[in-house]
Amino acid sequence: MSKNQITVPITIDHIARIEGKAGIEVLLENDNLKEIKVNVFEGPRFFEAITIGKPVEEAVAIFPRVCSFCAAAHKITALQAAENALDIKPSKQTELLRELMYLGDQIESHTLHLFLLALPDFLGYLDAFSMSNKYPIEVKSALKLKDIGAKIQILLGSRFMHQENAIIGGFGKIPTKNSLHEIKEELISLKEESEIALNLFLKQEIWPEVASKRTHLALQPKGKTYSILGENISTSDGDTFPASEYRNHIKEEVVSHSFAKHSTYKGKPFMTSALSRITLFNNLLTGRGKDFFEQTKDLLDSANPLANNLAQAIELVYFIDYATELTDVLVENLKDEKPKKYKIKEAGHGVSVSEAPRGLLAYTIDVNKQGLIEKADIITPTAMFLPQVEVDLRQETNALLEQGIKDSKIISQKLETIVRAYDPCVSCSVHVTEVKK
Amino acid sequence: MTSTLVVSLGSTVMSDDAIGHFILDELQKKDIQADFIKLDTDIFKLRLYFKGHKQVIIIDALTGEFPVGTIFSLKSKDIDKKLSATIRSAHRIGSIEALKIMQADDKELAEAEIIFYGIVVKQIDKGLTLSPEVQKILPEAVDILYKMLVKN
Repeated sequence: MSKNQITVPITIDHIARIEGKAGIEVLLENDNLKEIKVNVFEGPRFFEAITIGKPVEEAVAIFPRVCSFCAAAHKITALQAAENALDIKPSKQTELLRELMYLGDQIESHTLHLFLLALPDFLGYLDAFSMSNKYPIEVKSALKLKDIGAKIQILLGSRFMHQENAIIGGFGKIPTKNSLHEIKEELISLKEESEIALNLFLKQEIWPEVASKRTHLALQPKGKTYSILGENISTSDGDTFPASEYRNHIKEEVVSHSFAKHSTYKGKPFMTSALSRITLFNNLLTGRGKDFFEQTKDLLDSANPLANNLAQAIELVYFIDYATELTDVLVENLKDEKPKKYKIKEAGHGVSVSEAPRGLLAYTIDVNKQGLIEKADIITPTAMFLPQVEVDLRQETNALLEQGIKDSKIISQKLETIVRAYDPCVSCSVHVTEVKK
Repeated sequence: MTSTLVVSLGSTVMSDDAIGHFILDELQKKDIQADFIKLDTDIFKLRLYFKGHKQVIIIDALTGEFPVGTIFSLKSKDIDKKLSATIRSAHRIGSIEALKIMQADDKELAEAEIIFYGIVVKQIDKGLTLSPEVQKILPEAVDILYKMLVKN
């Protein structure tokens, strides 16, 4: 370094109000940004590796333990991948019950993120508790919405986390019509609460300086309605490819500063999120979700990561209504169905991709003819969007420096807010391992 | 329903993080008048199991500048003061912050006696078993809490 160069680091050791442990490191040299990194220092969990050699039935119970935020997302995606490997086609009823369980996860996760993790940023509070005195109705609503998400998962999965009632071929026990009816009534009673986050995030300031053109990836819903399950991935570049071929399109690489791998699409960072889903498939929204999208679409800038909060808020309203519709269909047509029986005779390879609360979640499972896991691969949404987060942080820092803002506290707060808008789940992004046999 | 609810926090696949669940398993084998529930890593789920209990005991793993195996048994007022100052819960958002949010919404929970029973752990890393150091302290940790519960 030459004598006249002054290097200033800005270090955010621990980004508050996100799931898991990550920090941001900014290096300024002579008031110019030299380097910016999101450091993920949560220890790697080796989830793919610990399932090698285990019976596939046991493996699908282990995988969801990678995450306490979206265990149902991991459970259902792993089950679908396992069933594809074993050539099992679940019944229509199983698909509906799984989708409802997944919606419970989405409702709970979006509520936690919007009300308790992201909202304090925009209302100017340190945390959700500090906010609760002035915003008691909002906090009360958050707890009710979180409860219904949990209740759906408990009813269908037998427990609120790592739901063991969801198994290969179906469900161990089918819920009663009465219990589903109770869920439906509670969902209907929460319509008003579900709009609260939306109304708050409508007032959120979207900093224009962080916006930049980006590619969005999202799963194309399997039916004609906006949903979280499907078989093809679409991109905002206009491409569509089978989700089963995600490995050919999404590349992962190890980076030195992070325990989470970094992913790219066509060699470039990309975004996957609620904003990506809304950007690509808003035409499939119905009811209040559609109405709110129409009313707020000018604020839903797909180039701005902060708009992800509003996208999640629209989804929260939509998911409450969609879950209500699903319970209605299930109550009308519910049968006491047993899980599909199967016998493993040959080796199989199965892939499944779904839309977790924070974006695409991909599973590949190889099973040998003894029914044991040969190979597993998981890419979580956070591992997919981390490089794009770094692009956005770089853009924001440069913009602030150009405005003459050098106060490390202001820069830190802005950068943390941007990271939080992605709703990262650092814990489950650090499952990394290269599994070779 | 009994008057005491004992809950444990922690990830079952993160070694010492699950110390609460190990303690809870041992307590359930004993003749104790209490309700027990494992809450994994989300204390907000307490709302689904709290039914006006007079006392809630939260067992959790702790990290901080204390020797591994140090046991803290903190009552309501001390919880916030001590946890934020010198030791911290191993879990996100903060069990105590979440508890305070829930208490603000639930008068009965706000009036319940809360006891935070924490054990300073060695490693929060992948693993289905406890580290030898924490395993060693397990019987004592169970015994202290057992005596507390039978006294009730």
